[in-house]
Amino acid sequence: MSTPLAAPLLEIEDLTVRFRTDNGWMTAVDHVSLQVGEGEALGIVGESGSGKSVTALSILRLHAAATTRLPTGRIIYGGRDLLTLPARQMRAIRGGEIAMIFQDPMSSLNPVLTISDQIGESLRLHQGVDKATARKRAIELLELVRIPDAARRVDEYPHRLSGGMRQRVMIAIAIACRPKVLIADEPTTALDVTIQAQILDLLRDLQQELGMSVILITHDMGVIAEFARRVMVMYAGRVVETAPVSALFRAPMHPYTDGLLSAIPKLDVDVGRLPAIPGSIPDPTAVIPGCRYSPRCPMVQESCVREAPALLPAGPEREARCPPRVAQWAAARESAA
Amino acid sequence: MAEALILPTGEAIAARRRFLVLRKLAHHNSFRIGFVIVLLMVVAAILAPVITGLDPTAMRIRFRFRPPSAEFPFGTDQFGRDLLTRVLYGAQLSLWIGLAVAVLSAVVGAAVGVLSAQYRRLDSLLMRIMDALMAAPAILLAIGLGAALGPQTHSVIIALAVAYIPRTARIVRASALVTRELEFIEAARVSGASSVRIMFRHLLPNATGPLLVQSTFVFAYAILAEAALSFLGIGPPPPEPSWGNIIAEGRDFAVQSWWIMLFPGIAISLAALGMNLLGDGLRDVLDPRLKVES
Repeated sequence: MSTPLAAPLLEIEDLTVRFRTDNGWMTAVDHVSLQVGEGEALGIVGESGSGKSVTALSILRLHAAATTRLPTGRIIYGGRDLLTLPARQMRAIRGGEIAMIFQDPMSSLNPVLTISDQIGESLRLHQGVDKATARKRAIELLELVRIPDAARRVDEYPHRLSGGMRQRVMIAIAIACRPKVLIADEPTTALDVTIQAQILDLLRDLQQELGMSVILITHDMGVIAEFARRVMVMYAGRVVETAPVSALFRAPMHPYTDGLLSAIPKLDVDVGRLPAIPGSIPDPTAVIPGCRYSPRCPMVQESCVREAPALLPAGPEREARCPPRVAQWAAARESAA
Repeated sequence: MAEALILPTGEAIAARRRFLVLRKLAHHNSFRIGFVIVLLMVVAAILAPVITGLDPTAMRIRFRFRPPSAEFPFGTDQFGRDLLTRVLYGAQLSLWIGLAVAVLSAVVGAAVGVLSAQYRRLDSLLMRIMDALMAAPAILLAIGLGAALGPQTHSVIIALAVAYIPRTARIVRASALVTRELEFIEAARVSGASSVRIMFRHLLPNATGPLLVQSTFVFAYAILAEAALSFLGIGPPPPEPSWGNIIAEGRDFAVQSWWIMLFPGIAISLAALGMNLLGDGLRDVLDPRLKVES
């Protein structure tokens, strides 16, 4: 990767994950590499089925064993490869060092346990604190995620809380053991817009207060713009572009990113219909020669179909998987110099 | 927004929620009737020595075959033993067997069910064993096992528990299979919970509703089945009374002394009816598909 990060905290090298389906093996994640620095906010963006969630789940090794071929590649955290770590040590990492929050706060809490029990669970697992201490810590955590009246809420059951509050509780559970990395898999998708903004604010503040690295997975470019410092765009299991967030929005380097950006409604331009990317994401079992985006790409060239493009460096902290565009950029830079 | 509401303390809310379930149960007619019947039976069984003051096994040949009267409300049997006393003491044994079978099959069934839901490899093995047990009708299986183990109270309990474990296991497994696909199980795993912890802290508590309901039905079946086993001579050995063996001993005199079989028969029917009504009520209130959270 082009990013010269000072000692990445978490590093994924060449991760490939394959699932068994009725039509044979499909590649959900295809040679993906990424790095997350300490305290960094990385956004991963892509359509449904682009492999972004699978990448995230792989970090914590949370696949159904029966349908997954052992992922290849390496996931280095703290000098250890998470893909080969014994189950016991993996459990110590989960929740203790790397935590995760999910998309749907309505089903992410156990209906028969109180909030206190559920926040306390990871504290008791990782820090061995007793029930009374766990409850006290749970109240502090609820205050940290700005749930009013925490001392009372802590003994309630999940069904008494609204969606936004449940997502706050999920965040409280995730940060209970002060993890170094927080993976947020579409944390705001199931919430309404005003709550979305609150949750994002909360996540950002917590990230700065606790010095966590956050990997935010989303399909919403707006969320990325607001939250991430660096963005990775995925399409059909591959990384198509990596860039600092401002650079990506200013000058995308991949036609797919163009498409994503132009699909954002703009307040100052009146359009009857939002532009959409023609076609749909390919069947993951389909074999597409060359660039996987070529069937939908408006600027497809003959060379795109002939050979699979590589990720090419395209500026500071930037890479793109589109040789024609990178060549254009390189030529423009040369003529400017 | 809901956050702004002023709410009572958490303990009060938890207590209130429990109270709500109890109140719903208290307003449920069949639960109410079932509960009263079962409660009366348990009280009668416990207070048996106080109620009659007679020995259920003491024979008094002079009073053989007395029909129901003021002195012997349920009559006497061929040895002159007071049937009211025997039915009351029999309740102790029959209810104990019912309870033991219900608890034993709930514990083992829950373990088997939750294990096979959690470990897919164990699943086919355990479920095929359960299928094999279910292939024979429960009562036949219990007769076979009871005959093999000998006519003792504990062998009746074991035989009946084995016969009812498969159904309980299936119910728990079905419920756990649904639960384990929910996101909070994955969330628990993300928190670093082990499989064992997930099974007992997350899967099992979510299956308690159906498990509890099933256990009340097992209780009722066990009382009936105990009577059937005793009738066939595989039950608790005489002279200790159980409802089943009172009937068994009375069958030779059924035509002349109908009361010997009638009263324990009524007791069995009432107990089974009571437990079934109780179970129905519990199911209506506890079943999450029917539950309206408020």
